[in-house]
Amino acid sequence: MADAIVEIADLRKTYGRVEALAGLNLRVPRGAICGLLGRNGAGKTTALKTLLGMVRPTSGTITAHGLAADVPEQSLEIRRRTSFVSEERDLYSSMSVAGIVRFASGLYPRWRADLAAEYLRKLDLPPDRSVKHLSRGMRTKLAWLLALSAGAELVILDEPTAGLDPMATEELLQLLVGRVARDGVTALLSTHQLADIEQVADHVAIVDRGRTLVDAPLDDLRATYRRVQVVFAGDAPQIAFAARGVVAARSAGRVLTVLVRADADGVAAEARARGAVSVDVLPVTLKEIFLETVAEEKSNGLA
Amino acid sequence: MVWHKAWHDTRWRFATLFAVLVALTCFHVFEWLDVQRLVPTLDPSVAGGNATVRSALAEAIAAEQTFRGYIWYQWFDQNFATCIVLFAALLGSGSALSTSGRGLLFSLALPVARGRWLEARAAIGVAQVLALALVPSLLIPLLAPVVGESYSVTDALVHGALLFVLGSVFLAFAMLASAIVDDFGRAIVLTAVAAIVVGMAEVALSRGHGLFHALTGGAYYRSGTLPWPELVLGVALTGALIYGAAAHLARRDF
Repeated sequence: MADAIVEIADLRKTYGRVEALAGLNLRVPRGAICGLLGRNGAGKTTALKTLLGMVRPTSGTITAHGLAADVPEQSLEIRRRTSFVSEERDLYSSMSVAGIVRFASGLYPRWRADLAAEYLRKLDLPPDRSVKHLSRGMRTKLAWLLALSAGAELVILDEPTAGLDPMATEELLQLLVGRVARDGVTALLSTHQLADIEQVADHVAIVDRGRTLVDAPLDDLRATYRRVQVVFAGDAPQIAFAARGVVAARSAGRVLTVLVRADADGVAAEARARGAVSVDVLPVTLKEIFLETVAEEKSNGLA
Repeated sequence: MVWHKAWHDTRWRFATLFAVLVALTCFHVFEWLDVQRLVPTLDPSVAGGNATVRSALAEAIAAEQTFRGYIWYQWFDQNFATCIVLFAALLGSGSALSTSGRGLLFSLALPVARGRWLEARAAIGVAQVLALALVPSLLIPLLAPVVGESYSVTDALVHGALLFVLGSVFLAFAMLASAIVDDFGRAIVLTAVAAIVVGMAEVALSRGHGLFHALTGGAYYRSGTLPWPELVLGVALTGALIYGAAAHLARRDF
């Protein structure tokens, strides 16, 4: 198993009666691009903020680079080796583009001036323009520039492509992939853009209600998850499958659709035994895995 | 870089307040020419039967017989004291982590301890309050010959230093308020309310004592003595309030 740059175990955070994190577990392998997926309010941003020392956990452990995020001195060292793009692209509005680049360069010990100059040119950012006069897209590009030039081993991006046009999204994702491939940087992306994750991530974690539902390499997910589509002669029966790893089963008329995590062949065999007229085992998209996993968790929570 | 940000965040505020204070100082010095003509015509009996007002008016008339008395009474004791408290509150308000209310998460994600942001902002703020208190005060001895008077540099320095301590207390209070509420406007209001409460409490409870009374330099003007207990109290309060702000910031969730 690859060395982990981020390790979170049984992390809890409560605000009064609200439980933002309810025993979150996460392991981000070093050198990976890890997608952190979840609905609004699932606990993604709270987890990232806890990792950066902005929020103190109620209990549990959270480490990055082997350092405890809830110990102030160690948190400082984590932030020397980690850069962050917040969802709000919250930068100093009164500084110019060149000014904020200069400002950040003085704070990160391993700042890459060569990359900053390269990205400034590539992303077409006007150095003399004030941050408050940048469009949202330009501000996003500037936030990426600062994060990717910080010389950080870990880059954390919260909703990094929200509000960007497809060209800009592609441009930034390619910069990220290039940085990971060239320098062995690890990236942790929290996003709703499943297509972005499918395009660049090699590890995925799905969280809901402050807990981890899935934490696995994307290739493993693609290999283990299958959609079994079963057609019956009459209305599809309710089947309690004995096969392992049934995530969700849904019937509509004669068709029964089953999302399976492990034993798709076992499900197919059981369906045939129950008189199915046709059984197809199909690959699934990340979107399907996400929707079904979260829907299953939601129905378990309601039950 | 952290120092640069602290200066960058407050430089226009400081420059504006500095310019206002310099203008007000000049105005007060040149106003002496009119006051000189007006004071001999004043009579405390215009206050009627109200003894408190009559006594205050008599004190004002008595003080303003000389340029030194006029400067103390009109400027250091009243207008400058109000200005320094208000201006220090303006300089201390607003989160030490953000700039014009933006960039809070950006600051928190940088490899800088929260206490360092506050330390830099407090140090820059104290230096700015010092400049606001001393430079306009030192203008008085420079400008006095223009209105045919003289004013001691020592008096200017002492009054400036006393008001610097008074301003620092409210700068620190504004920083504590900002650490708690973040918002610039609410921090200003809280600090203004605190100043009014302290001022009213002094009038009601401790006649002749208290921060405002002592640090506006009445005792120094009258007898040349310095209010050491209040000076020490002011410095200690400033330190305690800044420490409180740092402690609150360190344990806060964002």
